[in-house]
Amino acid sequence: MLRKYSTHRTHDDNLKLGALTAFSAGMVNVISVIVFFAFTSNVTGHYAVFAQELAKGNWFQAAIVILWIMLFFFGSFTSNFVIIHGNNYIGRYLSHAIPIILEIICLLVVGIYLQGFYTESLQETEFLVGLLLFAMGLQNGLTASISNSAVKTTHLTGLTTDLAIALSMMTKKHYRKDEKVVEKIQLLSSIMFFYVLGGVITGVLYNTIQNYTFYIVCFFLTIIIFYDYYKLTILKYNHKKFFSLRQEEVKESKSNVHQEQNNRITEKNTCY
Amino acid sequence: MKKIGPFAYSLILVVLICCGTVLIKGDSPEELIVGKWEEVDWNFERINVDSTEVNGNLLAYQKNELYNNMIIHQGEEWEFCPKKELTLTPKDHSEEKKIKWYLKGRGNILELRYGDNVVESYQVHKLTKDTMVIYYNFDLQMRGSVKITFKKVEEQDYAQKI
Repeated sequence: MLRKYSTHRTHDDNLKLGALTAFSAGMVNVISVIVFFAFTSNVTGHYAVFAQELAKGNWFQAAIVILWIMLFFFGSFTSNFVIIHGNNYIGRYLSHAIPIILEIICLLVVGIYLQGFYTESLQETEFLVGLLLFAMGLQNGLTASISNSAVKTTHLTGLTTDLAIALSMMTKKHYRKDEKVVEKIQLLSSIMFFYVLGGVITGVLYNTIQNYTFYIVCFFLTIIIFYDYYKLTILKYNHKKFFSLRQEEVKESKSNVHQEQNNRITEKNTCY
Repeated sequence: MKKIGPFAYSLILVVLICCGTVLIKGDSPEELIVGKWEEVDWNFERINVDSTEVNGNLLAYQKNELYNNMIIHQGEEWEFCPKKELTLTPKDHSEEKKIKWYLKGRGNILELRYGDNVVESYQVHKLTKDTMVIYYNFDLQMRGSVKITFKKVEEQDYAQKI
């Protein structure tokens, strides 16, 4: 899911990554609307609100909104920065996992703060919304960066357009058999489905478990990290096993050759 | 074209500095709202019905919805204290109500909480040093929405009173 990059990714990799991250983005967006009355997984609305606040002359609110947009921007910036620079130093898997780790930290901070310290002041609300936007920026930057922009999971505007285009292509017989178009439809519809599912589940869960919902989002993000970690360890294990087996085979064949040579020498000696 | 990078980074820096300055120098909605506010207008937007004509003009279901969800504040004085306490005083000074207030979002949502889990939320349309306009948020998609306009009551100091 995480360790592969760009064109090396399979449709299955994108499908898994898209579904899980869309699910967590849907959850985060709904919680933030319930708790803070602000959307945090998309910034299109914030641009409109920014323009509106500027037109009204509400400079303070306009500054807050532009800072929120900037935080989403910095999230995506950080993600790609870590991916492109970290690749040579810490390896591909870790550089791809760091944005998710940072996102988990942000969500944990928000969850813990809401449970223990939140006094519902506007400053706190603004700060926590900013933190969630940063987290969503991290996630969107990561998925878009490693999938070559095939997977974007925090908002559905572009996705709805792409899905509409792909479905309209299916009206032509030629494209119905095109595997790429079919895969695209599968990917986009699964992202859409899981995003909505995450939102619905959060809406239901929040009434009973309230801010613990943040920990559930963290759990799903942890699955993304550990899924690849697990795969990597299995690969390493298989690799090691394969090499050790080969080494044993080589050793055995070498010793066999030695033995054969010795046997020949002894045979020769006995003949003389 | 080569200088696009430094230009973009400088632009971001300028935006950040501007935002910081506005946030430091500007008035937060939470500071602006604190004080005594008097209701000066209370009407239904879009359907153009005045508060005095509400009973005659609203459809029955709209009226039911309105009365079920909203605690009607007409001709009241709202005093917002910094400690999130709101005192509602009717014009005849009959009985004061003390509730909690919170600003949410970017300061565009005013949430009023009554003791028994009753929550009312309003959209803050305008908030300046002397005027506040809020809209009641309905659960139902009503054709019109309640708009309440306030004017800030000037606090007279002791010398002025004399």
